[in-house]
Amino acid sequence: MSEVLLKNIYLTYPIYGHKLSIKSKIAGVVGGGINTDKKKYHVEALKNLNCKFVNGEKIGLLGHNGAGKSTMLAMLSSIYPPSSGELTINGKVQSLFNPGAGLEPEESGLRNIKRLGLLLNANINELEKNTDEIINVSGLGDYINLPVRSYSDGMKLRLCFSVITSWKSDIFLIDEFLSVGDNAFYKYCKGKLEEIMKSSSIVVLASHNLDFIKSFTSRVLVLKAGQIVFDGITSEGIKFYEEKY
Amino acid sequence: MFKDLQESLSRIGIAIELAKTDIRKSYTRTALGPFWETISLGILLFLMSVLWGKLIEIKENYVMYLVTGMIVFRYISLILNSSTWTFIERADIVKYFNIPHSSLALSKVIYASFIFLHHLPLLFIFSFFYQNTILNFNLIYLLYSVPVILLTSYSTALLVGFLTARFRDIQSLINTITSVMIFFTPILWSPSRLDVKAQLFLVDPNIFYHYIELFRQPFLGNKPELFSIVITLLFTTFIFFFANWILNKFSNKIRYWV
Repeated sequence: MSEVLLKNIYLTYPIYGHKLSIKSKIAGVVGGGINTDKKKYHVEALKNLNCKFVNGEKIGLLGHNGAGKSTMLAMLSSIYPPSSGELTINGKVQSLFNPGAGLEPEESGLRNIKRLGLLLNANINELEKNTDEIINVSGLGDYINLPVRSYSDGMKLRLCFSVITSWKSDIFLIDEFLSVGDNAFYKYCKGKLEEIMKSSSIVVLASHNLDFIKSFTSRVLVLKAGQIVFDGITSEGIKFYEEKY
Repeated sequence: MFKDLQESLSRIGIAIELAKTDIRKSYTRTALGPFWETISLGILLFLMSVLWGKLIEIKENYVMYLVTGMIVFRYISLILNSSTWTFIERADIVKYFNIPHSSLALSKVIYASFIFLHHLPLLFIFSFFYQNTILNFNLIYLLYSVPVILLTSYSTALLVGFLTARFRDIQSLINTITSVMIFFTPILWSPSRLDVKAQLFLVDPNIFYHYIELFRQPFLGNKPELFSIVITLLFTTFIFFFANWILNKFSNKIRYWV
Protein backbone atom coordinates (compact mmCIF):
# COMPACT_ATOMS: atom_id res chain seq x y z
CA MET A 1 0.00 0.00 0.00
CA SER A 2 1.67 3.20 -1.17
CA GLU A 3 1.33 6.35 0.84
CA VAL A 4 2.95 9.76 1.17
CA LEU A 5 2.47 11.79 4.34
CA LEU A 6 3.73 15.33 4.92
CA LYS A 7 3.39 16.79 8.40
CA ASN A 8 4.51 20.34 9.18
CA ILE A 9 7.19 20.18 6.52
CA TYR A 10 9.62 23.07 6.13
CA LEU A 11 12.48 23.12 3.65
CA THR A 12 15.04 25.89 3.70
CA TYR A 13 18.17 25.85 1.64
CA PRO A 14 21.28 28.01 1.79
CA ILE A 15 22.75 29.96 -1.12
CA TYR A 16 26.50 30.37 -1.00
CA GLY A 17 28.68 32.95 -2.67
CA HIS A 18 26.01 35.38 -3.85
CA LYS A 19 25.05 38.75 -2.52
CA LEU A 20 21.51 40.05 -2.67
CA SER A 21 20.85 43.69 -3.45
CA ILE A 22 18.26 45.71 -1.53
CA LYS A 23 16.52 46.36 -4.84
CA SER A 24 16.10 42.66 -5.57
CA LYS A 25 14.84 42.07 -2.04
CA ILE A 26 12.09 44.62 -2.56
CA ALA A 27 11.26 43.81 -6.16
CA GLY A 28 11.18 39.98 -6.00
CA VAL A 29 7.70 38.67 -6.75
CA VAL A 30 8.41 35.00 -7.35
CA GLY A 31 9.99 32.26 -5.24
CA GLY A 32 10.00 31.58 -1.55
CA GLY A 33 11.10 34.08 1.06
CA ILE A 34 14.80 34.89 1.37
CA ASN A 35 16.44 35.31 4.77
CA THR A 36 20.00 36.26 5.48
CA ASP A 37 22.46 35.64 8.24
CA LYS A 38 26.04 36.88 8.42
CA LYS A 39 27.47 34.33 6.02
CA LYS A 40 24.79 33.22 3.58
CA TYR A 41 21.25 33.54 2.30
CA HIS A 42 18.51 31.06 3.00
CA VAL A 43 15.61 30.41 0.67
CA GLU A 44 12.47 29.22 2.42
CA ALA A 45 11.40 26.93 -0.39
CA LEU A 46 8.63 25.04 1.44
CA LYS A 47 6.65 26.16 4.44
CA ASN A 48 4.35 24.22 6.72
CA LEU A 49 3.22 21.59 4.22
CA ASN A 50 0.55 19.22 5.49
CA CYS A 51 -1.03 16.69 3.17
CA LYS A 52 -1.45 13.02 2.49
CA PHE A 53 -1.40 11.14 -0.83
CA VAL A 54 -2.91 7.66 -0.87
CA ASN A 55 -3.18 4.74 -3.26
CA GLY A 56 -4.80 5.58 -6.56
CA GLU A 57 -4.43 9.35 -6.31
CA LYS A 58 -3.16 11.41 -9.26
CA ILE A 59 -2.08 14.79 -7.98
CA GLY A 60 -1.31 17.91 -9.96
CA LEU A 61 0.92 20.65 -8.58
CA LEU A 62 0.20 24.19 -9.79
CA GLY A 63 1.90 27.46 -8.95
CA HIS A 64 3.93 30.29 -10.39
CA ASN A 65 7.66 29.96 -11.10
CA GLY A 66 9.51 29.40 -7.86
CA ALA A 67 6.36 28.48 -5.95
CA GLY A 68 8.04 25.31 -4.68
CA LYS A 69 6.65 22.64 -7.05
CA SER A 70 10.02 21.28 -8.16
CA THR A 71 11.45 21.46 -4.64
CA MET A 72 8.46 19.55 -3.33
CA LEU A 73 8.98 16.84 -5.94
CA ALA A 74 12.71 16.70 -5.21
CA MET A 75 11.90 16.30 -1.53
CA LEU A 76 9.43 13.49 -2.26
CA SER A 77 12.13 11.68 -4.21
CA SER A 78 14.49 12.05 -1.19
CA ILE A 79 16.91 14.31 -3.07
CA TYR A 80 16.31 17.21 -0.68
CA PRO A 81 15.54 16.23 2.90
CA PRO A 82 13.09 18.49 4.76
CA SER A 83 14.65 20.96 7.21
CA SER A 84 11.96 20.09 9.73
CA GLY A 85 8.70 18.18 9.93
CA GLU A 86 7.76 14.61 9.29
CA LEU A 87 7.93 13.02 5.84
CA THR A 88 6.72 9.45 5.39
CA ILE A 89 6.98 7.70 2.04
CA ASN A 90 5.84 4.12 1.60
CA GLY A 91 6.57 2.72 -1.84
CA LYS A 92 9.22 2.74 -4.55
CA VAL A 93 9.64 6.22 -5.98
CA GLN A 94 10.57 7.04 -9.57
CA SER A 95 11.03 10.54 -10.88
CA LEU A 96 11.61 12.53 -14.04
CA PHE A 97 12.76 16.08 -13.36
CA ASN A 98 15.32 17.40 -15.76
CA PRO A 99 15.60 15.49 -19.05
CA GLY A 100 19.27 16.43 -19.52
CA ALA A 101 20.43 15.54 -16.01
CA GLY A 102 22.63 12.50 -15.68
CA LEU A 103 23.28 12.22 -19.40
CA GLU A 104 26.91 12.25 -20.53
CA PRO A 105 27.10 14.36 -23.71
CA GLU A 106 30.18 12.58 -25.05
CA GLU A 107 28.67 9.11 -24.76
CA SER A 108 26.18 7.53 -27.16
CA GLY A 109 22.49 7.26 -26.37
CA LEU A 110 22.95 3.52 -25.95
CA ARG A 111 25.62 3.92 -23.27
CA ASN A 112 23.51 6.60 -21.60
CA ILE A 113 20.63 4.13 -21.23
CA LYS A 114 22.79 2.01 -18.92
CA ARG A 115 24.15 5.09 -17.16
CA LEU A 116 20.65 6.41 -16.41
CA GLY A 117 19.52 2.98 -15.30
CA LEU A 118 22.37 2.77 -12.80
CA LEU A 119 21.75 6.26 -11.48
CA LEU A 120 18.06 5.50 -11.05
CA ASN A 121 18.82 2.20 -9.30
CA ALA A 122 17.09 0.13 -11.95
CA ASN A 123 17.51 -3.60 -12.15
CA ILE A 124 20.31 -3.68 -14.72
CA ASN A 125 19.52 -7.18 -16.03
CA GLU A 126 15.93 -6.12 -16.61
CA LEU A 127 17.10 -2.89 -18.20
CA GLU A 128 19.43 -4.73 -20.57
CA LYS A 129 16.61 -7.04 -21.57
CA ASN A 130 14.42 -4.03 -22.30
CA THR A 131 17.09 -2.06 -24.18
CA ASP A 132 15.70 -2.84 -27.63
CA GLU A 133 12.25 -1.80 -26.54
CA ILE A 134 13.61 1.41 -24.97
CA ILE A 135 15.38 2.28 -28.24
CA ASN A 136 12.26 1.49 -30.19
CA VAL A 137 10.04 3.55 -27.91
CA SER A 138 12.41 6.51 -27.92
CA GLY A 139 12.14 6.69 -31.71
CA LEU A 140 15.78 7.78 -31.92
CA GLY A 141 16.68 5.21 -34.60
CA ASP A 142 20.32 5.37 -35.62
CA TYR A 143 20.86 8.40 -33.39
CA ILE A 144 21.04 5.96 -30.48
CA ASN A 145 24.65 5.25 -31.49
CA LEU A 146 25.62 8.92 -31.73
CA PRO A 147 26.91 11.04 -28.84
CA VAL A 148 24.19 12.74 -26.83
CA ARG A 149 25.79 16.13 -27.49
CA SER A 150 24.35 15.84 -31.01
CA TYR A 151 20.79 15.50 -29.63
CA SER A 152 18.19 18.24 -29.42
CA ASP A 153 16.40 18.85 -26.10
CA GLY A 154 13.44 16.90 -27.43
CA MET A 155 15.61 13.92 -28.30
CA LYS A 156 17.17 13.93 -24.82
CA LEU A 157 13.68 13.98 -23.38
CA ARG A 158 12.67 11.02 -25.54
CA LEU A 159 15.68 9.06 -24.31
CA CYS A 160 15.15 9.85 -20.63
CA PHE A 161 11.40 9.31 -20.74
CA SER A 162 11.83 5.94 -22.46
CA VAL A 163 14.37 4.76 -19.88
CA ILE A 164 12.46 5.96 -16.86
CA THR A 165 9.14 4.51 -17.95
CA SER A 166 10.66 1.12 -18.79
CA TRP A 167 10.09 -0.23 -15.28
CA LYS A 168 7.31 0.03 -12.75
CA SER A 169 7.24 2.08 -9.59
CA ASP A 170 4.71 2.72 -6.85
CA ILE A 171 5.07 6.48 -6.75
CA PHE A 172 5.82 8.40 -9.94
CA LEU A 173 6.93 12.04 -9.79
CA ILE A 174 7.08 14.18 -12.92
CA ASP A 175 8.18 17.76 -13.21
CA GLU A 176 7.18 20.09 -16.05
CA PHE A 177 9.02 18.64 -19.01
CA LEU A 178 6.77 18.09 -22.01
CA SER A 179 7.25 21.54 -23.49
CA VAL A 180 10.40 20.49 -25.39
CA GLY A 181 8.95 17.39 -27.09
CA ASP A 182 7.33 17.44 -30.54
CA ASN A 183 3.69 16.61 -31.26
CA ALA A 184 4.26 12.94 -31.96
CA PHE A 185 6.21 12.48 -28.75
CA TYR A 186 3.67 14.51 -26.79
CA LYS A 187 0.98 12.08 -27.95
CA TYR A 188 3.23 9.14 -27.08
CA CYS A 189 3.92 10.62 -23.64
CA LYS A 190 0.23 11.05 -22.99
CA GLY A 191 -0.36 7.41 -23.88
CA LYS A 192 2.56 6.24 -21.76
CA LEU A 193 1.49 8.44 -18.85
CA GLU A 194 -1.97 6.91 -18.97
CA GLU A 195 -0.29 3.51 -18.62
CA ILE A 196 1.82 4.78 -15.73
CA MET A 197 -1.25 6.29 -14.11
CA LYS A 198 -2.83 2.85 -14.17
CA SER A 199 0.23 0.93 -12.94
CA SER A 200 1.60 3.41 -10.37
CA SER A 201 -0.32 3.83 -7.17
CA ILE A 202 0.46 7.50 -6.74
CA VAL A 203 1.39 10.02 -9.43
CA VAL A 204 2.42 13.59 -8.67
CA LEU A 205 2.71 15.86 -11.68
CA ALA A 206 3.93 19.46 -11.69
CA SER A 207 2.99 21.51 -14.73
CA HIS A 208 1.89 24.88 -16.02
CA ASN A 209 -0.13 23.13 -18.71
CA LEU A 210 -3.67 23.21 -17.36
CA ASP A 211 -5.03 20.86 -20.04
CA PHE A 212 -2.45 18.33 -19.02
CA ILE A 213 -3.34 18.68 -15.35
CA LYS A 214 -7.03 18.42 -16.23
CA SER A 215 -6.52 15.23 -18.29
CA PHE A 216 -4.36 13.36 -15.84
CA THR A 217 -5.12 14.39 -12.29
CA SER A 218 -8.02 14.11 -9.91
CA ARG A 219 -6.63 16.35 -7.18
CA VAL A 220 -4.71 19.62 -7.35
CA LEU A 221 -2.42 21.39 -4.90
CA VAL A 222 -1.79 25.06 -5.63
CA LEU A 223 1.48 26.36 -4.16
CA LYS A 224 2.38 29.95 -3.49
CA ALA A 225 5.76 30.97 -2.07
CA GLY A 226 6.30 27.48 -0.72
CA GLN A 227 2.91 27.09 0.93
CA ILE A 228 -0.15 25.10 -0.08
CA VAL A 229 -2.90 27.64 -0.71
CA PHE A 230 -5.38 25.21 -2.26
CA ASP A 231 -5.90 21.47 -1.92
CA GLY A 232 -8.95 19.94 -3.60
CA ILE A 233 -10.45 18.41 -6.71
CA THR A 234 -8.87 19.29 -10.06
CA SER A 235 -11.69 21.34 -11.58
CA GLU A 236 -11.88 23.61 -8.52
CA GLY A 237 -8.10 23.81 -8.26
CA ILE A 238 -7.75 24.98 -11.85
CA LYS A 239 -10.53 27.54 -11.32
CA PHE A 240 -8.77 28.79 -8.19
CA TYR A 241 -5.44 28.98 -10.00
CA GLU A 242 -6.90 30.84 -12.99
CA GLU A 243 -8.64 33.37 -10.76
CA LYS A 244 -5.69 34.06 -8.50
CA TYR A 245 -2.78 33.94 -10.97
CA MET B 1 28.59 5.94 9.89
CA PHE B 2 29.40 3.79 6.86
CA LYS B 3 25.88 3.46 5.46
CA ASP B 4 26.68 5.56 2.40
CA LEU B 5 29.84 3.57 1.67
CA GLN B 6 27.97 0.28 2.08
CA GLU B 7 25.29 1.45 -0.35
CA SER B 8 27.85 2.63 -2.88
CA LEU B 9 29.58 -0.77 -2.70
CA SER B 10 26.26 -2.53 -3.24
CA ARG B 11 25.68 -0.21 -6.23
CA ILE B 12 29.30 -0.39 -7.41
CA GLY B 13 28.09 -0.32 -11.02
CA ILE B 14 27.61 3.46 -10.69
CA ALA B 15 31.25 4.11 -9.74
CA ILE B 16 32.54 1.77 -12.45
CA GLU B 17 30.33 3.31 -15.13
CA LEU B 18 31.34 6.88 -14.17
CA ALA B 19 35.03 5.94 -14.18
CA LYS B 20 34.66 4.22 -17.56
CA THR B 21 33.02 7.36 -18.94
CA ASP B 22 35.92 9.49 -17.66
CA ILE B 23 38.43 7.16 -19.28
CA ARG B 24 36.58 7.09 -22.60
CA LYS B 25 36.23 10.89 -22.52
CA SER B 26 39.93 11.38 -21.83
CA TYR B 27 41.06 9.28 -24.79
CA THR B 28 38.26 9.64 -27.26
CA ARG B 29 39.43 9.78 -30.89
CA THR B 30 43.03 8.91 -29.97
CA ALA B 31 44.67 5.94 -31.68
CA LEU B 32 46.67 4.76 -28.65
CA GLY B 33 44.12 5.63 -25.97
CA PRO B 34 45.32 5.27 -22.37
CA PHE B 35 48.67 3.90 -23.57
CA TRP B 36 49.58 7.55 -24.07
CA GLU B 37 49.94 7.55 -20.28
CA THR B 38 52.59 4.83 -20.52
CA ILE B 39 54.39 6.55 -23.38
CA SER B 40 54.39 10.09 -21.95
CA LEU B 41 55.60 9.05 -18.50
CA GLY B 42 58.07 6.65 -20.11
CA ILE B 43 59.64 9.45 -22.17
CA LEU B 44 59.73 11.76 -19.16
CA LEU B 45 61.36 9.14 -16.97
CA PHE B 46 63.90 8.20 -19.61
CA LEU B 47 64.98 11.82 -20.13
CA MET B 48 65.03 12.47 -16.38
CA SER B 49 67.06 9.38 -15.66
CA VAL B 50 69.65 10.52 -18.21
CA LEU B 51 69.73 14.16 -17.06
CA TRP B 52 69.52 13.57 -13.29
CA GLY B 53 71.98 10.72 -13.58
CA LYS B 54 74.48 13.29 -14.88
CA LEU B 55 73.52 16.08 -12.49
CA ILE B 56 73.67 14.15 -9.26
CA GLU B 57 75.88 11.34 -8.17
CA ILE B 58 74.20 8.27 -9.59
CA LYS B 59 73.85 5.21 -7.45
CA GLU B 60 73.41 1.67 -8.64
CA ASN B 61 69.63 1.55 -8.61
CA TYR B 62 68.88 5.28 -8.92
CA VAL B 63 66.79 4.80 -12.06
CA MET B 64 64.48 2.29 -10.42
CA TYR B 65 64.28 4.57 -7.37
CA LEU B 66 63.23 7.41 -9.67
CA VAL B 67 60.79 5.31 -11.72
CA THR B 68 58.93 3.76 -8.76
CA GLY B 69 58.81 7.09 -6.91
CA MET B 70 57.54 8.94 -9.94
CA ILE B 71 54.84 6.37 -10.74
CA VAL B 72 53.42 6.56 -7.20
CA PHE B 73 53.69 10.35 -7.11
CA ARG B 74 51.82 10.57 -10.44
CA TYR B 75 49.06 8.47 -8.88
CA ILE B 76 48.94 10.63 -5.73
CA SER B 77 48.92 13.79 -7.82
CA LEU B 78 46.14 12.45 -10.06
CA ILE B 79 43.99 11.45 -7.08
CA LEU B 80 44.48 14.79 -5.37
CA ASN B 81 43.77 16.90 -8.43
CA SER B 82 40.82 14.86 -9.66
CA SER B 83 39.38 14.80 -6.12
CA THR B 84 38.76 18.53 -6.38
CA TRP B 85 36.21 17.68 -9.10
CA THR B 86 34.50 14.77 -7.28
CA PHE B 87 31.23 16.60 -6.75
CA ILE B 88 31.59 19.81 -8.77
CA GLU B 89 31.80 18.16 -12.18
CA ARG B 90 28.88 15.89 -11.37
CA ALA B 91 26.57 18.61 -10.09
CA ASP B 92 23.64 17.35 -12.20
CA ILE B 93 23.91 13.88 -10.66
CA VAL B 94 24.26 15.27 -7.14
CA LYS B 95 21.22 17.52 -7.63
CA TYR B 96 18.83 15.25 -9.48
CA PHE B 97 19.64 11.67 -8.44
CA ASN B 98 19.40 9.90 -5.15
CA ILE B 99 22.72 8.05 -5.20
CA PRO B 100 25.26 7.38 -2.44
CA HIS B 101 27.80 10.21 -2.57
CA SER B 102 30.74 7.92 -1.93
CA SER B 103 30.08 6.39 -5.39
CA LEU B 104 31.51 9.56 -6.88
CA ALA B 105 34.66 9.23 -4.75
CA LEU B 106 35.01 5.56 -5.66
CA SER B 107 34.79 6.45 -9.37
CA LYS B 108 37.82 8.72 -8.94
CA VAL B 109 39.79 5.88 -7.31
CA ILE B 110 38.87 3.49 -10.12
CA TYR B 111 39.88 6.07 -12.74
CA ALA B 112 43.24 6.82 -11.08
CA SER B 113 43.95 3.11 -10.55
CA PHE B 114 43.30 2.46 -14.23
CA ILE B 115 45.83 5.13 -15.19
CA PHE B 116 48.25 3.73 -12.60
CA LEU B 117 48.00 0.29 -14.20
CA HIS B 118 49.11 1.88 -17.47
CA HIS B 119 52.19 3.28 -15.73
CA LEU B 120 53.07 -0.03 -14.09
CA PRO B 121 54.64 -1.67 -17.21
CA LEU B 122 57.30 1.06 -17.04
CA LEU B 123 58.71 -0.63 -13.93
CA PHE B 124 59.36 -3.80 -15.91
CA ILE B 125 60.62 -1.96 -18.99
CA PHE B 126 63.16 0.12 -17.02
CA SER B 127 64.21 -2.83 -14.86
CA PHE B 128 64.86 -4.80 -18.06
CA PHE B 129 66.96 -2.05 -19.66
CA TYR B 130 68.89 -1.17 -16.51
CA GLN B 131 69.24 -4.83 -15.53
CA ASN B 132 67.72 -4.36 -12.11
CA THR B 133 65.60 -7.21 -10.95
CA ILE B 134 62.43 -6.04 -9.27
CA LEU B 135 60.97 -9.44 -8.44
CA ASN B 136 61.88 -10.31 -4.84
CA PHE B 137 60.33 -11.57 -1.62
CA ASN B 138 59.81 -8.10 -0.20
CA LEU B 139 57.06 -7.53 -2.75
CA ILE B 140 54.87 -9.30 -0.18
CA TYR B 141 54.73 -5.89 1.56
CA LEU B 142 52.54 -4.71 -1.32
CA LEU B 143 49.75 -6.69 0.33
CA TYR B 144 49.81 -3.95 2.93
CA SER B 145 50.78 -1.03 0.67
CA VAL B 146 48.13 -1.39 -2.02
CA PRO B 147 45.03 -1.54 0.24
CA VAL B 148 46.38 1.31 2.36
CA ILE B 149 46.98 3.49 -0.70
CA LEU B 150 43.54 2.65 -2.14
CA LEU B 151 41.77 3.36 1.15
CA THR B 152 43.56 6.69 1.49
CA SER B 153 42.69 7.52 -2.13
CA TYR B 154 38.99 6.92 -1.47
CA SER B 155 39.07 9.03 1.70
CA THR B 156 40.97 11.80 -0.09
CA ALA B 157 38.55 11.84 -3.03
CA LEU B 158 35.68 12.18 -0.58
CA LEU B 159 37.24 14.71 1.76
CA VAL B 160 38.85 16.95 -0.86
CA GLY B 161 35.66 16.68 -2.96
CA PHE B 162 33.55 17.97 -0.07
CA LEU B 163 36.00 20.71 0.87
CA THR B 164 36.33 21.94 -2.71
CA ALA B 165 32.58 21.95 -3.25
CA ARG B 166 32.26 24.29 -0.25
CA PHE B 167 35.50 26.27 -0.54
CA ARG B 168 36.58 26.64 -4.16
CA ASP B 169 40.05 27.93 -3.16
CA ILE B 170 40.97 24.37 -2.25
CA GLN B 171 41.27 23.57 -5.96
CA SER B 172 44.12 26.06 -6.46
CA LEU B 173 45.67 25.07 -3.15
CA ILE B 174 45.80 21.37 -4.13
CA ASN B 175 47.22 22.30 -7.51
CA THR B 176 49.96 24.31 -5.80
CA ILE B 177 50.71 21.54 -3.29
CA THR B 178 51.14 18.88 -5.97
CA SER B 179 53.32 21.16 -8.10
CA VAL B 180 55.60 21.94 -5.18
CA MET B 181 55.73 18.55 -3.51
CA ILE B 182 57.33 16.81 -6.47
CA PHE B 183 60.51 18.76 -5.64
CA PHE B 184 60.22 18.60 -1.84
CA THR B 185 59.48 14.88 -1.69
CA PRO B 186 62.36 12.46 -2.13
CA ILE B 187 61.52 11.29 -5.65
CA LEU B 188 64.32 12.81 -7.71
CA TRP B 189 66.70 12.79 -4.76
CA SER B 190 67.39 10.47 -1.87
CA PRO B 191 66.87 11.51 1.80
CA SER B 192 70.39 10.21 2.54
CA ARG B 193 71.76 13.31 0.80
CA LEU B 194 70.37 15.44 3.66
CA ASP B 195 71.85 15.63 7.15
CA VAL B 196 69.88 14.12 10.05
CA LYS B 197 68.37 17.43 11.17
CA ALA B 198 67.15 18.28 7.67
CA GLN B 199 65.70 14.80 7.32
CA LEU B 200 63.83 15.29 10.58
CA PHE B 201 62.18 18.49 9.33
CA LEU B 202 61.88 17.92 5.59
CA VAL B 203 61.41 14.19 5.10
CA ASP B 204 59.84 12.63 8.19
CA PRO B 205 56.78 14.92 8.33
CA ASN B 206 56.15 14.49 4.60
CA ILE B 207 53.22 12.08 4.31
CA PHE B 208 53.72 11.78 0.53
CA TYR B 209 57.17 10.33 1.18
CA HIS B 210 55.85 7.60 3.47
CA TYR B 211 53.18 6.49 0.99
CA ILE B 212 55.76 6.45 -1.81
CA GLU B 213 58.12 4.41 0.35
CA LEU B 214 55.44 1.79 0.95
CA PHE B 215 55.38 1.08 -2.76
CA ARG B 216 58.95 1.93 -3.73
CA GLN B 217 61.03 -0.04 -1.25
CA PRO B 218 59.58 -3.50 -2.06
CA PHE B 219 60.38 -2.95 -5.74
CA LEU B 220 63.94 -2.00 -4.79
CA GLY B 221 64.26 -5.25 -2.86
CA ASN B 222 63.90 -3.69 0.61
CA LYS B 223 61.33 -3.69 3.39
CA PRO B 224 59.54 -0.38 3.93
CA GLU B 225 60.68 1.27 7.16
CA LEU B 226 58.56 0.53 10.22
CA PHE B 227 58.15 4.28 10.74
CA SER B 228 56.56 4.63 7.27
CA ILE B 229 54.26 1.67 7.95
CA VAL B 230 53.09 3.10 11.28
CA ILE B 231 52.65 6.66 9.97
CA THR B 232 50.64 5.53 6.93
CA LEU B 233 48.51 3.21 9.04
CA LEU B 234 47.66 6.02 11.45
CA PHE B 235 47.05 8.54 8.67
CA THR B 236 44.91 6.11 6.65
CA THR B 237 42.77 5.29 9.69
CA PHE B 238 42.39 8.94 10.62
CA ILE B 239 41.49 10.22 7.14
CA PHE B 240 39.11 7.29 6.51
CA PHE B 241 37.09 7.97 9.66
CA PHE B 242 37.29 11.74 9.23
CA ALA B 243 36.14 11.64 5.57
CA ASN B 244 33.21 9.38 6.44
CA TRP B 245 32.29 11.60 9.36
CA ILE B 246 32.29 14.62 7.03
CA LEU B 247 30.17 12.64 4.57
CA ASN B 248 27.63 11.84 7.29
CA LYS B 249 27.53 15.36 8.61
CA PHE B 250 27.38 17.29 5.35
CA SER B 251 25.81 14.83 2.92
CA ASN B 252 22.56 16.78 2.93
CA LYS B 253 24.35 20.04 2.17
CA ILE B 254 26.46 18.97 -0.79
CA ARG B 255 23.51 19.56 -3.16
CA TYR B 256 23.50 23.22 -2.21
CA TRP B 257 27.25 23.59 -2.60
CA VAL B 258 27.76 22.28 -6.12
